[in-house]
Amino acid sequence: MSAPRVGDVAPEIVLSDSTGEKRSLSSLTPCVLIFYRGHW
Amino acid sequence: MADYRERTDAFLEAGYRVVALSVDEPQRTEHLRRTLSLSFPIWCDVERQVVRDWDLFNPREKGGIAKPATFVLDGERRVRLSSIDSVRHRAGADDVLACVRGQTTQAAKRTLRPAMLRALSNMFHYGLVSPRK
Repeated sequence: MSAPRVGDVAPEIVLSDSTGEKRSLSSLTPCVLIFYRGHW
Repeated sequence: MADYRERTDAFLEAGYRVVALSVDEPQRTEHLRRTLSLSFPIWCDVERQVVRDWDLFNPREKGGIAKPATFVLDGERRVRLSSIDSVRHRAGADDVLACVRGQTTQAAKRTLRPAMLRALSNMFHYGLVSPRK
């Protein structure tokens, strides 16, 4: 798989956030999604 | 991330939530979120499955981390902006906000155009000066 391009429908994401709450991407859109390196 | 902290409300006003994602553990991430006073959620892709699925996995550093990237997604999860970033260059929050507002403006234009045409037509018909009482 490759990173979605402009015009593509992004793959669904279902993950726990830092508080332990499980969230889906669909429940958050429209959104700005930021991938960051972490390990600060 | 601090960039987005300052603009979270502006994004919300434009109809967009902010959400971040890294491969860090929840405890470390929550500490960061509180330290930086971030009001938006941060996903913890500890298994690195999402970063692999999205082809944003950088296996060369620190046991495998996410490549920096920014996406604007509409209500159907369709990508409106995609920026695969680098450490030295990230899509700035202001640029992303402008993109989001641009889309909002595009939508608003379609609604506003008839009203603007009416106003222009009135201006030519009646002139710019309000009628005196």
